[in-house]
Amino acid sequence: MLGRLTLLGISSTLMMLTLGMVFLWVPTDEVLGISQRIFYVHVPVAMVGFLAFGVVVIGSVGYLWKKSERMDALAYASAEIGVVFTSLMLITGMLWAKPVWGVWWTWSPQLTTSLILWFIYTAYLMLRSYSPQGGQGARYAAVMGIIGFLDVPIVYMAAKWWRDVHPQAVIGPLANEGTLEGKMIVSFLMGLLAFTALFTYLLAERYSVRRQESILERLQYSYD
Amino acid sequence: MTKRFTTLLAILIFLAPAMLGSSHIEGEAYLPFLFAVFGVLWLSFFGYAYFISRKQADLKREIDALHYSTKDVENG
Repeated sequence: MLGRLTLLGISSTLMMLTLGMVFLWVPTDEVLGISQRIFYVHVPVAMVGFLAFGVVVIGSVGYLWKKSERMDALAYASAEIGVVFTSLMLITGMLWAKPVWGVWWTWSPQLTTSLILWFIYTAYLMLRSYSPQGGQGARYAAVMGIIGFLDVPIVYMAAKWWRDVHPQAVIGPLANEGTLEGKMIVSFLMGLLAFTALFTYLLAERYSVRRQESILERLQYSYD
Repeated sequence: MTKRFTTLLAILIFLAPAMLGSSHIEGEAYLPFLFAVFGVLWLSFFGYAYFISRKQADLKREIDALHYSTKDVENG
């Protein structure tokens, strides 16, 4: 099992490599120009946000099935990090939209469904913070975490299902071949790897704190 | 050790775009947006890491308080 300091070291090294590739190595896009370099952080951040919500589903199913507090802590920690990543996806998207589309925000299907995703998991965190740890609050939140994930494939498919100003997927099953050239794909994959490593590190830290919080709450309850 | 490493990393990451970008990239009109993206990204991640470390410190304080109060009860 990798230590947390090792995880921090790996994600930092990968981040520095990504920065070097984005600013020094990858060619400038002929159509979008320099603003296209935002792609190498915007898309990986979005994908890692989806991954985080996938982990919420795993944790929530585990909690409902086995009543395991560890799984509940995993779901909570991942939801919190997922909201951080989704917020960054929305902010970096706006910072890319302004120079390219001339507006900070437009109610296009992909942007709107992404915002709905952010609202769903923010509501999940609010539900958790207003209810005591464990018990009914955790059960409701687990159901919400699972149902909320249904929005993730909708976000991914939105640009294909509806006419959208947002570009179509450049990676995954919907991507057209040859959308990205060699160096661009390598830089993108490096970014994806770096943000996944960072997510793993943050998840390990937040999970550990959440577990300690649960144990402390139980101790305080039994002491009172 | 971790704090020093994180601070050094933060400085490097904030300076890297400016150092690497200044001599290399064309289309300077979009540079503020590019730097804003990296600035927002890193400020958020370091802010979140700080939030987690504060939570950890608060937990430690609460555990210590609980430890002392149980000791008081044990000692009568």
